[in-house]
Amino acid sequence: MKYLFIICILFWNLTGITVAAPDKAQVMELLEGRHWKLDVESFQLLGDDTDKVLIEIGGDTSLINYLRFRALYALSLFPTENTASFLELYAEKSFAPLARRGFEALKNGFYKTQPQRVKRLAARLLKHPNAQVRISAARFMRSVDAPRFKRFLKSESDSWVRKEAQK
Amino acid sequence: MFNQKRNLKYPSLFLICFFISTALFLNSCGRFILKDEGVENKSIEELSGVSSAKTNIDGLNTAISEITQTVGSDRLLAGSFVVPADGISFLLSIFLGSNYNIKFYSLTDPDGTDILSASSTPNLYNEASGRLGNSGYANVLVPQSPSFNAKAGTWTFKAYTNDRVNLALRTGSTPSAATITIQPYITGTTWSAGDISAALSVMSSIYSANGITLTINDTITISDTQYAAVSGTFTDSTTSALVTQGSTAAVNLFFIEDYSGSWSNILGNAAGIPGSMGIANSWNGVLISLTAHVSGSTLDAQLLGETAAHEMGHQLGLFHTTESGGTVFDILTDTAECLNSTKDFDRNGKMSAEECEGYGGENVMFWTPCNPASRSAGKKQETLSSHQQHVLKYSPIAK
Repeated sequence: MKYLFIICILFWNLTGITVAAPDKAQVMELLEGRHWKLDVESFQLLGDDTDKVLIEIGGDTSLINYLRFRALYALSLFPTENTASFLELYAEKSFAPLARRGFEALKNGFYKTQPQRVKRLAARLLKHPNAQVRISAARFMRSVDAPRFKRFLKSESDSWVRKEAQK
Repeated sequence: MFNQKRNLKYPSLFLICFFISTALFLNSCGRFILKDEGVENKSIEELSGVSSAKTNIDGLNTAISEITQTVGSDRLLAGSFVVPADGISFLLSIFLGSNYNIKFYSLTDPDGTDILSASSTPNLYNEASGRLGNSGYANVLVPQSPSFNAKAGTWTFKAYTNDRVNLALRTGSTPSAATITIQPYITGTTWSAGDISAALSVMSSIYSANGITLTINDTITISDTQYAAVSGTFTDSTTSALVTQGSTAAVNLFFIEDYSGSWSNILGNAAGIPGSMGIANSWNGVLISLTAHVSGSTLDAQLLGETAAHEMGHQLGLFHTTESGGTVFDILTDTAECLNSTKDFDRNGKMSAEECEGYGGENVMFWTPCNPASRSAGKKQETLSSHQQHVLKYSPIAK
């Protein structure tokens, strides 16, 4: 009985270690910096449930944008279905700067595993009203679907957008 | 008859062709060799070491001149310039078309000390802008700390392949205070000049409290849609076209609506440490993202002002007092250092402004802003050390 109790305690502790989500403050600290770069190792050390905290930060409309932008970008390190759905939603439904970053994060995190899903989203974003979102989608399309990219160049009315898309 | 004529004509034709071919060949060889030495398209006059005429920057005691260079036996380009007895500071800049890698090899003061050499004391080895070979532009600022001064006499330099060398030389009386002119620009259509006025006031107050008066010109709106979001790479064609519009008599702050591409996650960036001063070019300004500084639907004026002050500090030659890991610090001896070994309380390898309170976390040039909770509690980054102020007061773009 005593040994069973010890095993239960050990199991409970270990389970606690593996599933504990990091504090929001811990994640936020990794999103700080004036000239921020994604620190892959530090995020991965935070554990699997970090994506839930990042989704919470990315969706928090009361937070300053730079933290929300970076949270979306960091989500590319956690390629779960939950993450993909969240990024797709933000790429299509949010304001343009966040939409572009949602698409970029989806592309970075999911193109290797779900290329068709990313391509479908990119194809829709080629018609986005915001030029920077179109440019982002077009640059991706250029590398994966040259005929579609050429069609985009023919249909795009802004010459500077066509020029930027080809950079 | 015809054959006779042909026989007579052919040798002279052959000789003419031979001479033309030889001349073309030698010319192309010469061009090739010159190109290899980095002096392509330079005339004999340009290679003779004679400096061109000076241009004074409006309202400043700073003159811009181009220095001609000669090719040494070591294949490096070399030149010299004279700092007069009332010399205050200078920025020596080299440029290379097509944005190829470029850097200085040495800069020797009138006493014979190469301030870019690791064996000199003090030195700017691995500190001068372009030390790793920047794209298209590199420079050296004197003084970049009070340990250096623009000594009177002849300075000599050597540089790797470049197209031209410019000197911005400030003269006059020793500065005890300084005034710097700021030219703000705003891009995109989401925000207007009025939206950034509070942030500009914050920036002005920060510098004023540190002995620097800012004269802030009226904000210029650049409404062309291609400039709404630009890359943070100053050699990008769009960014270059934007920044080149900057004033030559001011520090240019480009409040862009957003960054594009891989730069989308930063708050702002300067064209160098320092960037260019007094010359219209791709490196004559800083970029600051407006969208990144928005909470809800309003700009965070305090943070935006601090970012503008920070990027301007870089543009004028100030480094981060402490870098993110807490193991790299600026070259100034009076700025607080926040050490990883004693201050990284949460052991995450990142020095936060909160962990570094009292150890540089409140400095304008700390690597990261205060976190949102601290900012809500009124924490600010508004201090500059005496040595940081010295660099700004002596700047070639100040008066």
